[in-house]
Amino acid sequence: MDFSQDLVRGSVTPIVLALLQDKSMYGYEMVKAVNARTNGLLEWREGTLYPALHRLEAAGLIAGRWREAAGKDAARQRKYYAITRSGRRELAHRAQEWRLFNQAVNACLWGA
Amino acid sequence: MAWDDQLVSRITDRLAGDAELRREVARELRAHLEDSAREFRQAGLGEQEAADQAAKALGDPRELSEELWRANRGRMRFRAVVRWAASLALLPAAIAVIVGLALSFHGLNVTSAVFSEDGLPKGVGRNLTEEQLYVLRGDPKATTAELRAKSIADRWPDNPVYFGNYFAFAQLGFHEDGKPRPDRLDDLLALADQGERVDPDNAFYNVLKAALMCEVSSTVEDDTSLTHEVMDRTGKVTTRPFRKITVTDPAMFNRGLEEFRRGLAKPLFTDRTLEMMDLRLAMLGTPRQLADIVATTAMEVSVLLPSLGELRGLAKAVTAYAIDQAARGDQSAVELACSVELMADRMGASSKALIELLVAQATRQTALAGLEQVGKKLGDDALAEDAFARRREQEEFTRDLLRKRRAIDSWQLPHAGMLWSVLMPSLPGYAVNFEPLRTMESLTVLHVALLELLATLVVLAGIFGLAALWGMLRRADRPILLFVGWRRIGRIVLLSIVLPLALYGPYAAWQVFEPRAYGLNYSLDRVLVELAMLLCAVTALLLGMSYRAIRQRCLEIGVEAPPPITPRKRRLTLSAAGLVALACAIFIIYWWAGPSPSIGPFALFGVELPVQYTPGLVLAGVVLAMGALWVLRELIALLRSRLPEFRRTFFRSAMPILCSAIIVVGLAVGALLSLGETSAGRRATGLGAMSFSAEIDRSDYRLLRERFAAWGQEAQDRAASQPAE
Repeated sequence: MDFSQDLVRGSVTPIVLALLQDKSMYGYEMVKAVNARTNGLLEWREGTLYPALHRLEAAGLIAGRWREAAGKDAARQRKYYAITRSGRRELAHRAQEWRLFNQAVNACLWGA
Repeated sequence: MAWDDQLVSRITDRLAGDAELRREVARELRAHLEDSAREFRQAGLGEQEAADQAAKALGDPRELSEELWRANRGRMRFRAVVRWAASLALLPAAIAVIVGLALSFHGLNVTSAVFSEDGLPKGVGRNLTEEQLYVLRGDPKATTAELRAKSIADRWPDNPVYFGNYFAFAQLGFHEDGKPRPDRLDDLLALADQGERVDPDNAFYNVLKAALMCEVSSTVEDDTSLTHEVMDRTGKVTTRPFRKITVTDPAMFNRGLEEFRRGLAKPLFTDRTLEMMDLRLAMLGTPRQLADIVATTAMEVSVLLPSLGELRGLAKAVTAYAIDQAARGDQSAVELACSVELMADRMGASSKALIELLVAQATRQTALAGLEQVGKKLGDDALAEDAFARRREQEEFTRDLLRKRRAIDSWQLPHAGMLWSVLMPSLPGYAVNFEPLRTMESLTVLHVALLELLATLVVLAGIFGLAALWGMLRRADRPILLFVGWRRIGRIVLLSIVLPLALYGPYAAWQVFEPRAYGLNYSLDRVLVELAMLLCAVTALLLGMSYRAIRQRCLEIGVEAPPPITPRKRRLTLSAAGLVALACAIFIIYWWAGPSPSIGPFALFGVELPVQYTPGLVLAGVVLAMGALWVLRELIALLRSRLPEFRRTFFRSAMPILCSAIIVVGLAVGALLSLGETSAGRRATGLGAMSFSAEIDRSDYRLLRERFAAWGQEAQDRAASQPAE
């Protein structure tokens, strides 16, 4: 399904932060992880991810570090991003915001 | 792949203002495209098709380029400012820190302070008022020391201390080739009259007038026909001649004697010069650095006590005159000889410097020997025996004083430090705390070592900067000034400088503070070896870690870099460093476990530096030479490497790292050393400070001074009881 671009763009930040809360990941790995978790429902245009990552990195919510990949790609270096302490606080805030927003939209649409 | 590069280049085109960021983003996107294309290939697509699909999945290149620029523009702007500041300001700031440290280091001013005309350190006067400065230096326009002293007395004409100070200088011109100058007598007497008006209760001016008048109106020489026995400090008895006097101008001589009698009736007896010194020292305040203490010591040494010779001469003349009068049967000779004893008692009781006390001691012996002789000449055996008994009591008192306590124990010397080991007065029971000055001396050496370390680093930074500039001039493309990251810089400074200094600092402090700590007069060779090792370790670690960080960052952004130090090279470096470290360790262990200070080869005075410190200096030189060779070898290897981009990037990026380290370490360690020195200086104002006016208080000679006060009281009681008899 093709979601509105505004909706996709607005959701990148909480999704990236949520992805990184368990382990550090590199860009392509994140794209794959989102596709897998949403069963292809949320198919990112891959390029949109990097500006978002750089913005979050500049804001200090995530930190990038070059290192060698694990497993079969061991020889190759990739830039891994990890969530920072302020990134975790931001994630909690965004999750709460999303929950309330979701409730409000649901209430309007379905009267629940 | 070519298609990859073209696409990535288009996407990152707008980041061209920040070459490092562009390369990093390009590398990230390239890795993404490779991952994506590989997955498409695994799904069965051909090479070209997979690449196309990967590019398509990435999105519109123009839109992505715009988005990337928007996301990074703030960062780019900030980094541009930081780069500009790093290129232009860091090296001058580092040099400014070093210059500031060198200027604040008064150790460099010691010589100028000691040998300056007014004997004051350059830093003096920072917090002083104009009046205080005037008291310290006098009129700056005055050309001689006497005129400077006069200017102070002229400005405050009622101040007896300032006048006493001037009078001491004025006396200096009275003698020429050891003989008095009668032509200056009137001037000096007029000045003494003025002194009497300024300081009416002080006997000094009357007694000094008496000394001057007696000196010019008589000649005194040894009378070998008349001798007396004197016991020295070891109990040995020697024979000394009395003096005989020839009065050439009886009128003036009698005027002198009148002044002498008039003076002794006054309650005070002081020439005021040591009071002036104490007053000036109090103005100088807490010494902040070793140089301040050296300068104040130089000031104390320059204090003049010319009146002591005059008073000693007066005692000899009056005693000789009394003996002469007694030989003629004149009973007033007793009163004259007693007056000299009274003068000696008062000099001794009011003495501040040891030399005053010793002159008083000799004067009293002269007076009592004279009184004994007067008694004999007048046939008054009781008087002669009493005078002899009192003289013998004084000699025995002094002998006991010196016998009970040894002057300076030899084991004390290695703990005394450079200054004290040379200047420590050899007095019985001298109580002194060596620690503050020992600490200040050690901190001074650490200050020099810090300056040397920073100077070495700034020279390296300068070489790197020039090499980068050379590269920039020769090629069109500028080398990248890398952002190795604050964390990496922090780690470099922490591990390569702060950690070694933090490990050495407490050790060095323990070396100084422990109760049996050695002074630099004994431990300089060991300290030099330790500092040489520390300096080499810090430089090597700093360069090694900077190289590693820059190399890592180069690899991250896709700049080809040489391999890390190979095991073979590492083995070679480690072996050489290990050998030097072993030699140093053996030296330091030998130093600690070797012969004890009192009998060891190093237990000499600090002045014999070339012989004493040779092993330390040679080893320190070897350690430094090894360090320098290592740095040189690595630099040559880098210059010859076939990776010009890495080489130029290294040179351009290492310079700011070194400068940051210099600034951080220079400010932090410099401040710590300054604080330590000021704090030690504050402690040194207690027992650690050197003060000639405190020599008597700090040694067993204070007992002699107390005895003088008692003798004075006894003499007065005797004089008071005589009329009643």
